Amino acid sequence: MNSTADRLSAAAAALVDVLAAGHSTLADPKDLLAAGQARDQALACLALAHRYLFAGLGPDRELSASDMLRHPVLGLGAALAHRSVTGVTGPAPTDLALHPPPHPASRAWVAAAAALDAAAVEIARARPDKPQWAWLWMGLPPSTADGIPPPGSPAIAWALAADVAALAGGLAAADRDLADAFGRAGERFTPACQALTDDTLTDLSVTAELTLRLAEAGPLPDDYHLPAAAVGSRPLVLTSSADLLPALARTRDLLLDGPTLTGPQQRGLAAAAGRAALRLSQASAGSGRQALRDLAGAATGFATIWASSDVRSIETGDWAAVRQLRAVTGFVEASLQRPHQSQDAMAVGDIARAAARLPGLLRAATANLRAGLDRGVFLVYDRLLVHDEAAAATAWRPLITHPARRRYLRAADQLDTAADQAAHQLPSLPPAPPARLRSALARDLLRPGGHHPERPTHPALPPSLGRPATRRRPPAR
Amino acid sequence: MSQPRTWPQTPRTCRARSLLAHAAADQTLDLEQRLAALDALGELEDDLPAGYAPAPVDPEPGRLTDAHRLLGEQGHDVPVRDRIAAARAAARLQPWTGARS
Repeated sequence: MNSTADRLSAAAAALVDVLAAGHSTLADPKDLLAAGQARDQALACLALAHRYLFAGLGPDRELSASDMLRHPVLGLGAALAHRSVTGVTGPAPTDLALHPPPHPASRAWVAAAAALDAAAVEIARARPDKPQWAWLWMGLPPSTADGIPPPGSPAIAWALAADVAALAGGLAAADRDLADAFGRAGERFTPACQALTDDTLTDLSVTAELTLRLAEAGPLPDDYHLPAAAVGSRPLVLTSSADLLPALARTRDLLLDGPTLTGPQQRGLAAAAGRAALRLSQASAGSGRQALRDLAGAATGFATIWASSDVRSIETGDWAAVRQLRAVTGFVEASLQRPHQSQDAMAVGDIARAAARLPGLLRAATANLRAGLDRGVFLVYDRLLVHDEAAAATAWRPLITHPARRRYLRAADQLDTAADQAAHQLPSLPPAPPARLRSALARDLLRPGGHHPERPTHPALPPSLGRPATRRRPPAR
Repeated sequence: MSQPRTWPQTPRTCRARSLLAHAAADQTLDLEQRLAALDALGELEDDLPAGYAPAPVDPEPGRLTDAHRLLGEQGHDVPVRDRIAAARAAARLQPWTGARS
């Protein structure tokens, strides 16, 4: 194992092991201390790797939320630097080597910390502003036979950025598992649990995802397997229950005004709505409880239509609405798990009003689907037409003239009926105080519609490699 | 009219998707389990590069434990991105597999 790519691959494998290890039985304090310490170490190593990868470039001042959106790579650096640490202290490394923690999840965290440490050292050794960097990436000798060092490569530099962003996203996902384990372990670990689930978690996931998209927006090495992708709209980050209604309103606007959702986007949206309705039903009483549960069942049924669908969209759609609703669902789930917040009368009112918006949101989803069905943006894979391999590639037919279209119209009708019934049964509530809505809207960072970025110059590469030649000003006459 | 492009996935991932698609539609399962199956499908299908879609699969009866096992058996030749997606999908199913770690 010599090259930077090998080290990063090993770090990714170790992080995959962390995600695969079950955290549900991680309860022993010794295991928790070792895992928390290893997690802090992994975070520090990723921050170090990012600093070397981008040659420590970045503004000295604090980045605002919109700065992070416009410069996601710097935002990822800031998110890694500001990400909260658990602060727990576990055994010394020598003790860990002699007596590894018994729980598999804890052992996986220790291994991931060691692998990320090795990867960070490797990146520090082979930082991309050095000419031999591209060769170290591939595990080749650092100089050619004629003594001239090989040049760096924007494609490789961005591939490494993509890997670090993917690792940061993986760490954010693993943090959630570890936070659950800390949360179950009693008051001693409550500060660690809060540190892992605070706002910096959202910052890290969002900037990691944006950086990954940005890195993929241009050519990467052939063995990286990742064609171009684009950044979508950013969801409103929810920080209090007052953000629920603006976020749901934005989801509805995105559905009604935005592009037609693709099949996976419809499935994701309906599943998120189903989960939100289910959680809200558990927090409700009276007739609203059963109404929301029925709505959850209807939304889940609608989602399953797309889980085994032969229909594809010829457009890319937009994930913004789905991300926004998932953020809402995640916030509701987190709020209901924290008893001190659910006792807050304002929060209870906000959550109840959010429940009342769900039927309208699902009707907006079916309206989005119907518009797409009428415009003919869907193709269906007609299995009756497939006789041999050659025919398989041309078995796509427009859904607009295909009998299968009725299945999707019927599903939309059923969901509309369920939404109407739920809207009728849910109790009506007084509107939210305007001041609460205004404060949330002021922080709304969503942009209408998606934008497709061009990948900028990699900041760590010499100008001759990365930047296009600047156009000379014509001489003044 | 452009033909959809299919994102290459391993046979194990495709079979896991078949099992998950069936579980999501299985009315005998608890709603939480069906939503977990949909979430796992989302991890496998949602984050593909623009212009790509996963290959269509037929629902196939099976247990969530089987899908979880298939997702955990990804080879080392699979790209980092797909391996992390499979691990995230498996993590969604973890509470319903009855597996003790």
